[in-house]
Amino acid sequence: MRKHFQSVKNKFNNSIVLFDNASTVQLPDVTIQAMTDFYYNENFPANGASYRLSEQSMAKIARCKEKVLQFLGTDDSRYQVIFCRNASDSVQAIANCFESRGEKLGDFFITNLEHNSVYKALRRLGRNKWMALVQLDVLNSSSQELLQKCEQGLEAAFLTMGSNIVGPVWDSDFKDLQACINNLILANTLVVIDSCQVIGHKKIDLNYLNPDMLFFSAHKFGGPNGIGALVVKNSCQFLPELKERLDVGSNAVAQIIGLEATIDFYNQNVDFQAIEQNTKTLVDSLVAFLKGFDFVELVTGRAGQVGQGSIVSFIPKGIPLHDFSWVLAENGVLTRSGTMCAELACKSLKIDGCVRISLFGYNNNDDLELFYKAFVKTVEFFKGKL
Amino acid sequence: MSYGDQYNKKIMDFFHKKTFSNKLSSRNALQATLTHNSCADKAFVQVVLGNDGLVQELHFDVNGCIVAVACANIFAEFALGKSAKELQAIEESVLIENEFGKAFQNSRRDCALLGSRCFTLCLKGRLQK
Repeated sequence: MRKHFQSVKNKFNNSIVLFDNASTVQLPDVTIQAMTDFYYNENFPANGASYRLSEQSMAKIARCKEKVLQFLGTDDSRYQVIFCRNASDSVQAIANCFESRGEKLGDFFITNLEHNSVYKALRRLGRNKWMALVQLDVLNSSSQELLQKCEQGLEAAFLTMGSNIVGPVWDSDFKDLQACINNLILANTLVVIDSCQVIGHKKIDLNYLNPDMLFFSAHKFGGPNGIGALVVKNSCQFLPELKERLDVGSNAVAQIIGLEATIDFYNQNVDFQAIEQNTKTLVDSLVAFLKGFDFVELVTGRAGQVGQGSIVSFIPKGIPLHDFSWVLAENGVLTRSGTMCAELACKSLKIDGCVRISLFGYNNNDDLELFYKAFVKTVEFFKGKL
Repeated sequence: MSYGDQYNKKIMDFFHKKTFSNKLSSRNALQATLTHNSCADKAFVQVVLGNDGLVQELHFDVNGCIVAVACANIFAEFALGKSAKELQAIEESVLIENEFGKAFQNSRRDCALLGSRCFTLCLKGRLQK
């Protein structure tokens, strides 16, 4: 997969290890090329201008919407795509729809591993006394318990597919999640799925999951910054209002074209099973390496799991998190540390923060070797200082 | 500053200082908490002002990076015994940079100022910054 990412190679001639992919994934060559071509050769607005070239831009946006739906295993007979800036944009718009009702709402479910993009937007609704936010403990509940909790009728449920701190929240084929969604919908609860940490890592089948809405940000899987999508069921009561809120003004045509190119790239080059296998091999090696250091405390996810999915988080006991990441970066490995904009998840995990290694399909064994060396240098650097 | 400079002896000495680590029990203690917007590092400050308006007692608890902790201690040492007026006149970044003789990179500057900003918040209304 790496051969398709010249941008990864260009960054300091392969001497930098990109282990901060849960924040932003680099762009495949075809995406950069598609956006560059658009700016050089077209850059016509998609706002209904009365000329053929503008219509071409509009047609490209419509085509990208179709591809997003195909990529998510569905089509326009069931869902519609509304482009937006990112996850926060989607959730704010949904929260505003609820707020505009101007009446007290029923309870909202969120998982206790939710990212700030969801948590903070909904907390605002709660603070304004529109509703109460109820946490679904996905860390300590069995599948059966989760299913039972999802039988109750709520106003809405916001469920993340993957945590940006501990990786997977549900079982690997999302049977748990699908069953929970099914129960919630049967109880007349509006279900919204956050797929940001899963898209690009695993195949998502929207027809199978069947939520009312699902959102993602393109920069989480090799698309451009500043573009995301909220995918909404045709039958959803909020669809017209969400279109009014998000689908107005000038479209980010270049970003949408970049997103389309990224999806084409996946369709042509990416085997999700191979990616998962590669990631698992790397993650297993990372976990084994880190377990060799007494001062390293691995952050565990659901049912005590460590190093599942594409994320390995740890606490270097005795070394401030940001300093650890900073020195690691000076030695060539980019990680992220702190709460990762997921204070609720950190609270649920009973940690103040951690250092996070997050992988993507282009990471390989060479990266691991560089990481091991950088890690040892970092530990050496702090020896005697702390 | 290079990353080595950032962890030089002077910074590490200030990082290790425990002078202001004891929580104040005085009922008159003003207190404030401030969280760094981007990295979520946290500072907690308590201040007791004397009848003369001078900073009499101080407690700093910074849960953050080495630079944040060290610079909070630098600021605390400076602030002790000063009046609100004196503290108002000081530019914290200049104070900290003078201490080290070099400017921090932008990303670390916010870390360096976390403690002093929390202190300013604590004395809000008394310190017109």
